[in-house]
Amino acid sequence: MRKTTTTATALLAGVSLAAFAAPASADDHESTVSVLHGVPGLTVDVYINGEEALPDFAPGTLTDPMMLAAGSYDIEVYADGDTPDSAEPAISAEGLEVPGGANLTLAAHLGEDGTPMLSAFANDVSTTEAGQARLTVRHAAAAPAVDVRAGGSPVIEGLTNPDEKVLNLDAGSVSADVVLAGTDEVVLGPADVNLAEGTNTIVYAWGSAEDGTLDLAVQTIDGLHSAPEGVPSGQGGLADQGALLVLALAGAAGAVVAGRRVIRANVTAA
Amino acid sequence: MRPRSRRRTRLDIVALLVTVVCVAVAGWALRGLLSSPVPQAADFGTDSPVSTAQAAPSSDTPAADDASGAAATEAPESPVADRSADDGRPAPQAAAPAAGSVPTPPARSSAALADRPDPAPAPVRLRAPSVDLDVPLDAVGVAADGQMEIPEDADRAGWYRHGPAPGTDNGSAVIAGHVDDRSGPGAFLALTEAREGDELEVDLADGSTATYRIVSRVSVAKPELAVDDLFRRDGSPTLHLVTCTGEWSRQTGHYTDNLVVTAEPVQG
Repeated sequence: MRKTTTTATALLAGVSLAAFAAPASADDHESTVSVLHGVPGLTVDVYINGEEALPDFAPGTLTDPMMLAAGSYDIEVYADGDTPDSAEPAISAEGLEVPGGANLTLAAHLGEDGTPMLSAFANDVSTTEAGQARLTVRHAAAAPAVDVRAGGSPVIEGLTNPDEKVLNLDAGSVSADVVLAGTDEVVLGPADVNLAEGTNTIVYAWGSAEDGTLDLAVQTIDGLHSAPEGVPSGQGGLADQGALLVLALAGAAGAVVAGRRVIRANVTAA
Repeated sequence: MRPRSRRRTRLDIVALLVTVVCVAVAGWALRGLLSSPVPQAADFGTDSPVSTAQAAPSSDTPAADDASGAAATEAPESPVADRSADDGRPAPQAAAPAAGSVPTPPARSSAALADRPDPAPAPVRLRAPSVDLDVPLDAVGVAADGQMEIPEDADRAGWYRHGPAPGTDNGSAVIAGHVDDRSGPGAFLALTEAREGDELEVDLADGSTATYRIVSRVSVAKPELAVDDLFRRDGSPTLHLVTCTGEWSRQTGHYTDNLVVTAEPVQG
């Protein structure tokens, strides 16, 4: 098994994006934060600001969203059983800035070289168009650049750890696989991914290519849907009123003809 | 000269009768025109459904006086506010903790790729016995122009498959059909005859039937159709039937208004 290093790595690039992804109505004083464990083979205890927040956190699991007040957080991840008193953390991030009004996923995962690291990803929770779904793919695996294919054709190319790509697609189920960038060498999948309308389906590639532990993790954020723009439910112009108009005109014409006749008859009689 | 005069009188009577018949037909036609609401669309003749959500805050739409109407009874919420209200994954810790404090451990679950959950059974047929409406249903989505997709065939109607299904516990199930097509009236023309209190029956794919009762029928100018409320995913269970009404605009190839029938589930 890969030796867990004590290198402290925190990737905060994602956090600065959070302000843009934040819905205007969200409370500016707190953010929605989910935590994903994507380091293979290592059950951990996660400490936030020195307190144990997630005991016995197993690889491949995801927490429900929790609300964290905006502010600065120290995150420390210990191998299960270790404590701040007895050992150094396996991964740590000091001064992680959580902005207000954002939706974040904090992921513990391997870097491209296999070093455990923490990444804070900002989740795009903006409204999706009616009928559409959002697909976010995050490279969180000890693996080189990859392409993601849907139904056999590449939809994401050259994605590297720890980057992400966001696509808005028609809702539905897609058969997706992950190949080494520019090749047909499948490293993950194919897997059927359900892209439900109005959701952001976030797929993480995690694990290690070298150790054969590559896997997919999925996080779903729903409630992003919007309504169709209208209901265009007539096409002929033949409905009752159109027909009525024709009748009305016919009636009026008939009245005119008849009226003229009456007048003429009266004139003749006079 | 008398016989001739009498002939003229007969002619007068015939002419009068013809006139009366014509006036009656014209009057009936006019009554039909007047009995349907006059379109309120400010932008009559334009085709700008994009503005539907934003253009609806006005309270003096035809639907405003109908408390249970689908549309325009209240200013539509902004999509953003909507979203925060119906976020399907509420945080377990609702109260905001003080900065830097640590919440109690949240629930967690496997992030492994899951099988698609079984969807609720789709509706396959809609019946309104009181107006002899009996129409097969297609599951439909969104057309390229961003509007709800409607089956081409006016003898069928479409259920908006991205929203709730009839018979489920939350939100608004929407079924729409053409009022007509180029060959004549569509099945949903019958909705113009439907009345409050009439029952609707929706046959579902699993063989069960969901029963609803009509609580309102309103006409709304298309730009003022409150789509966010019509297509809501949460809140009390409702069935909305939508078709077109109002005047036919040759310019746009659309009717000016939507007819919205709102129905609530019949318990038991």
